[in-house]
Amino acid sequence: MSARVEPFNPERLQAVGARPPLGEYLRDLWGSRHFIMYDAKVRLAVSQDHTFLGKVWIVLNPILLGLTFFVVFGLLLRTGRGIDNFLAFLLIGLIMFQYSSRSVVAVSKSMYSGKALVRGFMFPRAALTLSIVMKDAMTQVYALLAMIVMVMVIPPHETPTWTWLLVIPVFLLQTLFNWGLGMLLAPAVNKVPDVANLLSFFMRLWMYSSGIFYDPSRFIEDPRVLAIFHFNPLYQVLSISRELIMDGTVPGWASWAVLISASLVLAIAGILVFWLNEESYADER
Amino acid sequence: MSVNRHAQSEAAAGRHGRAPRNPAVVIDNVTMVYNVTSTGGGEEVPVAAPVRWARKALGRPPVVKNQALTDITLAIHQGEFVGFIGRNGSGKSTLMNIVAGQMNPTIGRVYSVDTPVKLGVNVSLVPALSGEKNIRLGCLAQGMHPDRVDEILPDLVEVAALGNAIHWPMKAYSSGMAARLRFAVATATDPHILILDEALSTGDAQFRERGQKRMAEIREQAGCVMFVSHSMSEIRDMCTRVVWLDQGDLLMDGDPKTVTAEYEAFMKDLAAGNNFAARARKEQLQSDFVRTELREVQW
Repeated sequence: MSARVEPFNPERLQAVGARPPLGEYLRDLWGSRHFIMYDAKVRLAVSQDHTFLGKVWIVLNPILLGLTFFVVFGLLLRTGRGIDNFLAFLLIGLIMFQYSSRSVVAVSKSMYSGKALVRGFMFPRAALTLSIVMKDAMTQVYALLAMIVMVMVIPPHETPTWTWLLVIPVFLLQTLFNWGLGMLLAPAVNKVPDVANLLSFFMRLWMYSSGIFYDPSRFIEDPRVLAIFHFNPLYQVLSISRELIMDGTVPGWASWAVLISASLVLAIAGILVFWLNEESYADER
Repeated sequence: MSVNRHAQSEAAAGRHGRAPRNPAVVIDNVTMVYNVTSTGGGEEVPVAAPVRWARKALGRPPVVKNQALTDITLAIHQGEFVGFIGRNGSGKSTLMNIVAGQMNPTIGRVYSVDTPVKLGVNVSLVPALSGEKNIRLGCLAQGMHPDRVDEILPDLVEVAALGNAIHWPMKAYSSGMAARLRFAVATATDPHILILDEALSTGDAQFRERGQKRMAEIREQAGCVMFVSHSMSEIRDMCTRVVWLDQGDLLMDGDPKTVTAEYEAFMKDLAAGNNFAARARKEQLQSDFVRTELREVQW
């Protein structure tokens, strides 16, 4: 069998699908910003397209959630478990926590759910995780606005103070946290999709242990158990927001330190792990 | 450069007759094996008994290996228009997916001068979104600046030639209409390497003509086109070189007239039930096949 010799210079060609160095990858990601913004906008716009009311559901969902709890705890049970304005306490907890459980799972599944785009175009894959985070963040802005209106309208009415504005940095840090954790899990979910199913249960467990229905400082004596709560960044998201909105005071630096460092560490670890696995997203299962 | 080496690279540069120039696409010993679940037919991958029992208990069918491509080596040069032909399941689409970077080969690597753009039959964009917005999303996904998209959007809408349907959601499109839209998106960036996987087959005559014209333009801009089709007349009309794949192996690689004639004769044998003649033809072709050997050089 004869052979035809073809000379080629691999240094002047690019290996298809190869992972670029981190610096180049981040530059490419920055270059994809227009795509990320547009994709997020489009995802939000079509997310409720199968319903009759359409985009109205983006606002209606959190309002109905709030009304449900108003009926149960405000009208039927009338119980506060020793917490002033239990309804606001609960609403802030639920609406803020649900943002993380939704977004972390969505980002971790992004390489699977975005298969059509991943197959169709060669953008840095992290762009897809960013556009999903952006879409969830935009949804959450409506939910937060609905939450603010509800705690003002439902008795006992909370009165706005300047500290309410500090909910914005909490929301931004939480978004960073969600993105980082989602990216950290995305390669595993891509390799073993079953992980995503386990993840929803894990997020539920996390929710119940983050003080959604209760204030841990009231009935936990053991300082070690309280320390676990303190170092739980999502507990801090809830407790900081509650203090800002319900008490009108700014929480101490320790709470902020936990939230800020957890978000930064997860975002950096997430992007590194996601980038290291960049080539694996095209693997056939 | 010594005379001897010069002569060698001159010969290797082939019909271009220029100084050594990198091929546009180098497919370097690519092998692809799929693991698929199979509900029958034997050929299961042997696994340890506990794994087999566990799979059985979970109601998961056993896994078989599907060797889609075996050790494919090819070099495609700028300005070439290469047609890929072969029976269903011969590995054409798998090869196109690998060259486009949408799938990692089990073994081997693909090198290219530029990011290949592939237009497939079943690339779905966002079904709930209007055609126009899908074009915009596709252009942005290829790294285009929004101002540039605004600039060329009217042209692309015209290329797609969908009339008012451009404002309808893509889920309301027929397969031919969707193909028109995808074609407009894929050719928007003036790609150097364009891969068409039966992308024109669902279109009508008008669309095919436009598509062929657009591909000729890309070739003129020193690009190359890789083209999968079952229409031999289309292959003969458009391609400068044809590669025939059969069951994951290369059978022929050469001038369109010769290769399509052989392929048609082979298919005729198969259709007539002359399996023996077909196998003999295949074996003859395999032994005559001139393998491509890649040589890494620095220049």
